[in-house]
Order: sequence, then structure tokens, then C-alpha cells
Amino acid sequence: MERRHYLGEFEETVLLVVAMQHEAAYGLSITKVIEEDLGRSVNMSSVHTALYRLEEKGYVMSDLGGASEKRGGRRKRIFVITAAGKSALLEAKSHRQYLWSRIPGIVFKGGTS
Amino acid sequence: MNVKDPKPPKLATRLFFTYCSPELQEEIHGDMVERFRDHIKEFGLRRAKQKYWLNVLKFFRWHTLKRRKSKQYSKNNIAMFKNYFKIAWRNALKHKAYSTINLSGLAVGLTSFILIVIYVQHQLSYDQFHENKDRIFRVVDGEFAITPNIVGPILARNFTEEIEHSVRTIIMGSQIFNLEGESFTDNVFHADPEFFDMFTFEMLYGTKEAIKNPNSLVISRKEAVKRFGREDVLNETLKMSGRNYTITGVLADIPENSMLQFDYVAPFYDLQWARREHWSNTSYHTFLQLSNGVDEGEFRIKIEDLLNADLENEEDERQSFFLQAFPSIYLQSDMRLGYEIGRTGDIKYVYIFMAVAVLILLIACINYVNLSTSRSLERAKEVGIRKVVGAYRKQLVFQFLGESFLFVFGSLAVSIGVSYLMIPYFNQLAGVQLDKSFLLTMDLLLTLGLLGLVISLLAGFYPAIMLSTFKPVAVLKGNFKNSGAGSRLRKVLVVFQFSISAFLLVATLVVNKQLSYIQNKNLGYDREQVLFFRVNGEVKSNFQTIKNELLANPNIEAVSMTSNTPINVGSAHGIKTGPTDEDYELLYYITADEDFIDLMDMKVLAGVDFKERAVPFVELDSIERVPSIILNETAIGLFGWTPQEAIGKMVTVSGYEAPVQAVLEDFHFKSMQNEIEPFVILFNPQRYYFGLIKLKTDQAKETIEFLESKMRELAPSLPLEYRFLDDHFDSMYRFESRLKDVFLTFASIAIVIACLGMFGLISFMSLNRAKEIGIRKVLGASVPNIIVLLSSDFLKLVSIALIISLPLAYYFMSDWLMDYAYSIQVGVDVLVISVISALLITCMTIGYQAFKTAVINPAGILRNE
Repeated sequence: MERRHYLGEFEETVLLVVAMQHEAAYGLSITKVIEEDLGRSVNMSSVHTALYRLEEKGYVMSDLGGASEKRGGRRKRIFVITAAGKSALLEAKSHRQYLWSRIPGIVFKGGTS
Repeated sequence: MNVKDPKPPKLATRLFFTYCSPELQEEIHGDMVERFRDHIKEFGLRRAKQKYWLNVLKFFRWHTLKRRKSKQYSKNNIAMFKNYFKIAWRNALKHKAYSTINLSGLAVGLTSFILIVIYVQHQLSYDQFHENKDRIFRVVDGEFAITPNIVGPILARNFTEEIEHSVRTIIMGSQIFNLEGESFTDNVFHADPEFFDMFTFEMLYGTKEAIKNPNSLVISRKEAVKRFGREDVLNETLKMSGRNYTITGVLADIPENSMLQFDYVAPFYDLQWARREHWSNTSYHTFLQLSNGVDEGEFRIKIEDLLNADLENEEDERQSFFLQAFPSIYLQSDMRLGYEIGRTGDIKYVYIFMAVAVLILLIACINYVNLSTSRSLERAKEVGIRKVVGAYRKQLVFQFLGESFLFVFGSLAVSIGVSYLMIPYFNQLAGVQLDKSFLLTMDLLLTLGLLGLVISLLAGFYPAIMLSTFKPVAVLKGNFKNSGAGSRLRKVLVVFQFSISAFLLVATLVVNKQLSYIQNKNLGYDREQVLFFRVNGEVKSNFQTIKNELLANPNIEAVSMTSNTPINVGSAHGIKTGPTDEDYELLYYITADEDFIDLMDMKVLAGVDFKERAVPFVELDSIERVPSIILNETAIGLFGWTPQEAIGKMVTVSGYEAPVQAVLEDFHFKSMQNEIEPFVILFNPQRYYFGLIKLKTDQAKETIEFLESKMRELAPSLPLEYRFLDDHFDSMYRFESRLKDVFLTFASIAIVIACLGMFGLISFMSLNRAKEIGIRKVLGASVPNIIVLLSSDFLKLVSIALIISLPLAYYFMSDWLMDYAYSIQVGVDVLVISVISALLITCMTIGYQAFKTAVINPAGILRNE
């Protein structure tokens, strides 16, 4: 059996953010996007965990980037989406689109039940 | 960085660094600090600090934790390991000579040890493969392995409960076979029907019932292939001694470690003359297999009581019977029973070999320990440096022990490989058939592993402990001295080692001397140039013609026929020595024709031989025809007669009374380990089985060709298979001469290893004392002075060793010689030769190095102070 792309919901979100912040994504920046743009409360450590897991799965690559004074002289780890990551995202997206397209019109048109 | 910038709480940061794995610390802490700054702007310092704390706690996750505390160290250790290996290797290369001597000495010692252990294992494995071995016993009397043929049946009848099987066997030598017109001779084993029930011999074809019917024959696989060209020869027929036999079984190859060795097995019942059960019908090996659960000790007493009680009723007065456990027969040859069923070994030699193995190993180990300890002092500086840069003592001990392990196990691996390759050569040397599989048994490998461990610890322990205690400052300053205790220990070891070598040297010389004595001793007859062969009816009936035809060849000096060859005398008669039935002695005998005594060059001391008077010793004798009886000196010694007195005196041999016709000078007809026994030569043309021919010439080849063609012409039915008497004689001493070779080999190995050790030590010593020697030379010491200085130490040690070992060797070897009825003395010559060769070997070993050191230019050594 072919290895399935498996992305958890949170992982998918993180991965999307990594793709969004092309070559500038690191732990804190991603946390910020999720918190501020999506208005979703999240732990920095959860984001880190998700990133490491994505890296293990081969969906992102990372390298230590430049240090800044703001960070107390510490370097950041920059995450970049890989080809595998991209195809995983595409697959997730197409599954969703397919499912959306199969929802009968009445479900959303019929107002609240 | 702005000084006013607020900092995240230190305690939290410290906490974070204690749990977070080092690889992740930087990035995560960076993120946290950045966020902390954001939070200050957003929520103020207090909340930011709180949130920072919270973050630190929240990052306490599985993937951020430090994996193992030691992870840091282990990386470092790998580098250290590499360094240990590298240093060990460099040290070995730096002193190539030492390393080679050290390791090769150990490897040779281990190889010898392995081979001997395999040999001993093989000796101990004899007859252990029979399933019922613990319940099989042989009935013997104190002198002979054979018993009357009535013994087995009597016991079986009286102890039906206790005895499961009872089997008598007899080996019939050189039976004449006939297969499709082609004839050949071979020995045949005759046995009672339950033979294959008792002993575990694998049958390729046929069943255990194979010899339960008359005229059935079991053949070995090897013979089947040789005679028929295939293995499955069931139901083929074969003529033996004129009767047709059907093959009912084919045996798998008989294990080499079986005392019973045979190619043909036939039913006992087929020997008509053997059927009649009688106490005087004595030529049989009687085996018993006890039932399960029978107490061996109790049964022994019962059985021995019965047999020996029965004895008293008979006219036979013999030594009492007893039971001998079957699997122990092979190594019990110190009982030296006559008429043994097969080749025997000797448990004593097993012990001796074990001792030699241990001694060699000891020498090799001492060598190894000596050389590595003396060498290790050179590494004092290395230890100093290591300590300065922070090596723990534990690490140093570990390093030196590890090095020792590395080298010992390296040599061990090499020795196992070499032993594996050497086995065929060893087989040749020791005359055994060792299988390579003996080497690869788990037991042996485990033992060797353990041994390696012990050697490594012994060799590594002293340097490891010694070196690791050095004070680095003292060592590096250079005021570090050879410890007196160490060199004293080394001296003791050298003495010990050389004592062993000298002991082995003496032992070898004595064994050598004794064997050459035996092989060259005057036997009382001439065995050179005499060949013997089995004869059949055709030869016997045409003998006069054949004899005349053969004697026509000028290269053939004499032709004769006998019942046995003089060095392999078979059965025994009894001779009466007193008035009652109990006064009688066993008498070995040969029946021979008129020419026998001349042919063998035996000396008639008194009386006349068969040429002048020959009356057959047969049962048809009437009163007026008294049979000719010729006794040896020992036999008339029973009566206290001199040869002259004995002539004409009446003696009773096997119930027939007749006067002594002649007296022969004693001759050896058994192994030299036995005394000469009473012996009689009888005249009986009906009982000739061997032809003897004495050649006159060195042109043996042509003469034998002549003999072969003549015999084909005159006795076409005889398969002529001849052997030379002296070859046959030598084969009697094969065990001893093999022993000599083996001993010689291993003693030489021991001496060589000891010399290697000495060589290594003197090289080391002269290196150590180079400066001293330089100064001595500057102050005017001559080259001979220096050589004497360097050698005298060793010569002293060797002398002490000799003083210790020579008396011991003398004592042990005298003890060994006691086994021989005819033996040499250990003698001063052996001791003198040993001393001289020991000193000579020492001088040669150390001389080179001493000379090399003595002629060195002192300026070269003293320059760099």
C-alpha cells in the first residue's frame, strides 16, 4: 500500500503557514500568524512539536538562520516546505474540495435547523 | 545590546537549559526571548515574565528533553577508544621485534595447547558412543583379556534377570575369502548373535538380527565398496574358509574411536571347534550387558563369587575373574592384559600429554607476562601525559587491560586458525585420526575463551595497576626507576619457565634413549630380511615342492612354516609344575617345522632341534611316540634346571608327558614392556598358518618378484600378502615411537618459546642498561667484559633452573622406565647432555644481543643526556 499522506488538522495549519511565509517561517512567526491572523490561541511549544513532527515526516526542511539582537543573540530555525509537504497539502485540499462539491445544496441553503 | 533591556527571568532560563536537549536550546530559547520582548510591549514586564515562565514549563515535552545524560561523554569516549587502539598499534609497531616475539610465542603455545587438548579429548572419547556403554562389561582374569568360552553362557544361565545380553567374540586372523574366483585375506570377527544388540554400530543395510543365522556375514561399507564396487551388497554371497556366506548386513564406517575394529562379522556358531563349552577353551572375549537398574557393584560381587567358586571345582587354577567396565578398557592399558581385543591407549599418557600442554601454555604465558610487563615501563611517560591531561586511573587500567585483551585474543584467534590447519600434520605425527570437528566444539571454544580471559588479566593486570599509580610529576621529570620487585618477579618467572623446558628436554632424551634401546636390543632372534605370509591348504600340501623351488633362488636363504610369527605369539598351553592339578603355569607356544629355529637364528643351548628329531604333538600320539618339546630358558627356569640338566627330563604340556628335547636361549616374543615368559616350540605339521622366508640379499625387490611369480605358479589359490618381520616389530612400538615424536616436537616448542622469552628480555635489559654500558665502556670496559656482564645474569638464572629441574626430571623419568621390563638407566650422559645443551641454547639466545650491545659506540648513547 502506498504511504498515505497524513496530516493532522493542526499540522496542516502549521504547514500552510510555513508555505505562506516562504523561507521566513520559524517557530514564533508561525505562532504569531496562528494567534493573530486566525485568532486561535496556541502554545508556542505545540507549534514547535508540530514542526518537528512535520520534519520527521519529511514535509518541511529546516536550517539555522541568522541571529538577531531581538532574540538575545540566538539564531532561529527557518522552516521551508518540501515537495512532499506540498503534495500533502494539495491532496488534503483536493479531498476537501471534493467533499465540498458533494455536499447537497440544501445543507447550507436550508438555513438553520 | 541595550543595557536597559529587561531580561527574562534567570531561574526560568536556567530551568530550561537543564531539561532541554542541547541541539534545540538555541532555537527554542531564541523564540522564547523574542516572544518575551513582544509580550513586554503588549502586556508589560510582569505579565511577560509570567508568560515566559509558562512557556518554559510548556516546552517541557518529550522531544525537547535531553535523551541520556551520558550522551555527551560517550562521544568523547569513542574518540578515546580510537586513540587507545591507535596507541596500542603504534606501540606494537614501534617495537616490532618484541611484538613479534611476544605474540608469536603466545600463539605457538596456544596452538600446541589446543592440539594436545584435542588429542586428549579424542583419547577420552574412545568407545563412548555405544548407547549402553555404562551397562557393558567385559569378564577378564587378572592376566588376560580372554576367558574360556563357557564363562559367557554360564553367567547368562545363572543370571537371567540381571544379564540382558551376553556376547563372546573372537578375532580370526587372515581368513581366506573367495569372491568370483578372486581370493583375498582379511580378519574376521566372530560374535554371538546379540553382538549388534549390545554394541551400537550403525547398519546401512540390514538389521540387528544380521548374524543370528548361520553362514551370515556382515561387511563394512569400506570393504563392500572395495570388493563389490558398491555399498548395497545385501544377499550377495562370498566364500570364506571354503564355506558360502550370505551378506546380511552392511555396516556404516566404524568410528575411529572404537576399540572394536573389523571389516567382517560372522556368527560365533559357525566356528565348530569353538562351540564346545569348556573351561580350557580359552580364546574369547566375553562381554556382558546388564539389565537396566542392576546395581553394578553388587552384581560384580555375585558374578565374581560364582565364577571363582566354579573355578575351585575345576582342575584349572587361574587368577580370579572380574568385571571390567567396557568404556574404560581403552585407556586401562596399565593392566596390560594379554590378548587385548584392539589397540589400547594409556591413561597415563593422557595425563602426561595434559601436563605437557599445561606446561607449554604456562611457558608461553609467563613469556607474555614477562615481556609485556617489562615493556610497559617504557610507557610511563605516556601514562604521565595522559594523567596530566585528565585521564582517570580507571581509564588507564581499562586501557592497559584492554590492550592485553586485544593482543591475547588476537593470538588466540590466530592459534585456533593455525590449529585447524595443523590437524592433518598433527594426525601424522601422533598417528591418530583427529577430526576437525573436535576443534569447533562449544566446550573447547568456551574453555579457550576463558583461558584467554585469564591470560589477558594476568598479563594486563600488573602493568595496568603499576602504571596507573605513577605520579605524573615524577614520571615526566624523568626520575622514575625500574621497580625492584618487578624485576625479581621476572627472574623467578624465567627460572620457572626454564625449569620446565629443561625438564622436557631431559624427558625427551630419556624417551629417545629407551626407544632406541628397545629397537636395537638383541631379541634373541634375527628379524631382519624375514618376511611372513599366510598359507592355505594348497601351500601346505605342496610345501616340499614350493620350498625346493624357492630355495633354488640363491637369494632365498631359508623357508619355513609355523603357527604364528615369533613376535606375535598366539595361544597358550599349560605346563605342569607340581604333583597336584593346581600346580601349573601358562606356556606360550608356537608350532614350527624343522627349519624354523635356523631361519630365525635362535640359539639352541642344549639338546637337538627338529632337524634331528621331530615327533608331532598331536592327539593321536601313542606311548612309543613321545612328542618333541623344545622349551626356552625361562620355562626350564620354572623347575630350576640348567639347560644341560633339562634335557631328557619329563614335562607335562597340555596333558601330554614327554621329555625335554632341547633348550633355547630366551628371546622376546612380546613387547619389551613385558618380561620374557615360559615358551614352548612344538612340531605339528597340521597347525601351520604362516610361511616364513629369509632373504639373503639386498636385492629384495627382485627376490620378492621371484617369490610372487613362483607362488602364483605353484599355489594359484593363495592370495600372497606378505609383510616383513621387522616392519611388523616396529609397528608394535608405534605407540612409543609416536610418543617420542610428539614429545620431541612439543619439548622443542617449549624450549623455543622459552628462548624467545629470554631473547626478548635480554634485548629489553640491554636497552634499559644502555647508558650504564656506555659509561662502562668510556671508563674502559672491554667487549668481553660487557658480554659477560649481560649474560651472567641469565646464565645464573638458567643454572638455578637446571638445579631445580634435573633432579625432578631424573625422578620422574626413572619412574617411567620402571614400566619396562627391559630398560636403560636415566644415566649421567643424559643429564650432562641436557646441561650442556641448555647452557648452549642460552648462550646462543642471549649472545647475539649481548654482543650487539657490547660493541655499540658509547658516544651514540651518552650524547643525548
